[in-house]
Amino acid sequence: MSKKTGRRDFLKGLVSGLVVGGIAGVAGTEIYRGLAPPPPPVREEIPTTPIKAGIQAYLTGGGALWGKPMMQGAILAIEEINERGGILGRKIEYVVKSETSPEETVREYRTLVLDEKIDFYVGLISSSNTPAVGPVAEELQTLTFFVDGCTDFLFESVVPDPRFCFRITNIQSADGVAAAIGAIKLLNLTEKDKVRIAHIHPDYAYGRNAHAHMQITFEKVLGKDRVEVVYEAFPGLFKITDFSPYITEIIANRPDILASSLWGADVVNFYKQAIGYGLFEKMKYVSCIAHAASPAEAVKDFPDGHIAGVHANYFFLYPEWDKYPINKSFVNNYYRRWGTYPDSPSEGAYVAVYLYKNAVEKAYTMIGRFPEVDDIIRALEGMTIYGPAGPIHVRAEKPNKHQCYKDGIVGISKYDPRFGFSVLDKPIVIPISKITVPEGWEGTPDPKAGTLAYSWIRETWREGVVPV
Amino acid sequence: MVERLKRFFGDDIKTNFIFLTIIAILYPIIYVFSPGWGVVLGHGVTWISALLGFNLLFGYTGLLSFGHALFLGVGAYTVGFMYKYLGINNIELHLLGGILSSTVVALIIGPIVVRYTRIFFAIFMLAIAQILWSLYYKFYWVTGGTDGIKIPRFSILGISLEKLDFATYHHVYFYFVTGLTFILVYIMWRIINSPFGLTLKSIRDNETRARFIGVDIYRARLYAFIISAIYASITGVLAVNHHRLVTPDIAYWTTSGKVVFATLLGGARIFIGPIVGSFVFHIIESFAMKFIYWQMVMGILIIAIVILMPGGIAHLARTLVDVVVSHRRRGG
Repeated sequence: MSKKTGRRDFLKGLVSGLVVGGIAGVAGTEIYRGLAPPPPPVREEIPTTPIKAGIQAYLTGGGALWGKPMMQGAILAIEEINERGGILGRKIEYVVKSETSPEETVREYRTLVLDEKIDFYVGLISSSNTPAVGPVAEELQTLTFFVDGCTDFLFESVVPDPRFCFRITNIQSADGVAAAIGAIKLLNLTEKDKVRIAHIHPDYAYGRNAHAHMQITFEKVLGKDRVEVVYEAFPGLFKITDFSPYITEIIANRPDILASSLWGADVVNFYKQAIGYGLFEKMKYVSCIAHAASPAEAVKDFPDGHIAGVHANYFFLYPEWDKYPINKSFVNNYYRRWGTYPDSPSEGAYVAVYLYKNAVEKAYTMIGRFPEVDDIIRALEGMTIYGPAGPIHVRAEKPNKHQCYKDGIVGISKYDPRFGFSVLDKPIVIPISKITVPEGWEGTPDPKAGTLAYSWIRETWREGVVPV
Repeated sequence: MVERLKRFFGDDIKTNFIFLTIIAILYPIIYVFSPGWGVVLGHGVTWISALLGFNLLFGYTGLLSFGHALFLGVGAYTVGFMYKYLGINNIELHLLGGILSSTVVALIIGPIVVRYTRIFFAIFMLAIAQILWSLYYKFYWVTGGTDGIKIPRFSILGISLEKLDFATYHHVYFYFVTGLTFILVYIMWRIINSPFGLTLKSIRDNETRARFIGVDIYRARLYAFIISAIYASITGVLAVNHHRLVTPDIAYWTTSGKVVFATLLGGARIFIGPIVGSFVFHIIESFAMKFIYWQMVMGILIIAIVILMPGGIAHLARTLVDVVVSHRRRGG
């Protein structure tokens, strides 16, 4: 039997409700009156002078394949922000300087800070230059975003407790680790009884770093006895144009995979010559960096079906445009502005400018005036923003304080007629938290490889287990 | 007096000291208005030593070295190793170490290379410099490879500069180096105007005749080579203390090219040439880096120097003095 609510019941309920509500309301007002009113938001006047940015990039020579897109990414972000009214109404101006050898790069950095009076700095590709400029940035107390120059050495030993410098790109050790894990998963290497590996890397700090971290990842994940190194070579960076002696020897050693961190002009020379020798039919090429910068120039007719790394950073097709509009608008705007597709360094520089904008705005909401550099730094530490490549997090604690982290991607190379160059296909995401030294980890850098990451992998990874 | 000015402008010690003093007086004023150009002057004064050393071989002995980066590298890596392995960041000891190590290196390679002249000497030096460069590069577990060796701010006479703000630190650096440069310039001037210096000039002008009058050409060249090496290594020591990272770049052939270029720009046959060249070169280079194609700017400039003023800026200045002096004499 159902009971219907009569008119009388309804009125009773209404009256009692009003009474209870009224009492509660009055009591609430009384309590509210007892408390001090919140202070009115302090909003000091924001200066109208423009903010000045300094950009420093390789504009000529072998590094320009990386430096030019970096400059373009930063300029695009600045122009976008200016078009939408600037940062808290302040427009951004910029000055561009060349990146060269450490001595000259430091000199030009100092003139940017001292003469151009820049408010923040975006720049650098070379791993030789970030350890030179890092301490100078701390000395001159200027907010500095390194786009690349990813050496682990910077935040592990040169400036272990930075205040003013930040770095956007994923740390160098993550590059080799991500590519090796990508290869293991995409090529199903765990199913093989034995994997024969050949290595070819440029002969300098980056190549050695990539070699060490790829190798230890293979050894840990696949098991030491199942990995056999059949060949190793370190040609000088941008010194070799004829790779045929290397190619024939690699083929003669019959590896299953060829692990490589050749980049720029080297990778172009290598793969074009290796195609002629049929190298790519005989083994899988595992590159951690080939597709990372200026893919239209660097990997135009790269063979299909090989492991394509992007410096553990960004490839313009991912995250997929329809699912992630930030990337779509970035790619569209970049193409409209520069007539080419963005890449890792351009995304890095673009994100650097937006990190600055976000930090300034966040600090402003907290302190109510245009923030000083210390306020901006406080806002930056621990901050996560969504950039074209996905979320990027600024680490606030040691080790590698002020290093930014984002998930890396590795895919399979595939020529795409829509773009006219080789792109990344079937990408897998490598969560950065699984492949890099966690916050607060206390260890000592491996003496041979020179990095904390190497010691961390050696000490904490279980052999035979894929960590991702 | 007027005749002296005309003939010796730039070659007498007085003009050199006056020039350096003017720079030392102008520096704080420039720094106040534009600290960046103050830093550029700091680079200028740092490189004088290497250029003077190079010019002792090139302008006064007639040996074109295209590998002086070798000695800059020796100086730089001496500093790097002294700090990395011994923890020494005392600049006097760095200088001492640089002088000793470059003397040793010059004594090892000097006896072989000074037997050659002209293009053979230039190429030989280039080759040896490149060998050393590749060693710095390859032995990365010792040298840090391209990551380099990071060194802290130096200390003078045991007084640490670590706590100073940048401007004060830079002033200390600038005046320390300027003071040192006064001494180095004076020593070099004495060497060039000594009988030994005259011997070198005689070898440059006519080797056969010098040998005929009994000059031991081999020994004279070797001594000049060693002095030159020491001067270059001093710049190596100072330069890495100025930017505080020792990387193989300082030993690369482009550094040798810079030494040659800056000396030619200033003027190789006049004593003051390298001193002027060092400042002007760094000012132009820093200015050119505002443009995307800055290397093209530098290239065009070197072509212009070779065609329009082969004697360099110092020679041009001397010609101007000449014109002014003659004019005034006619007028008076």
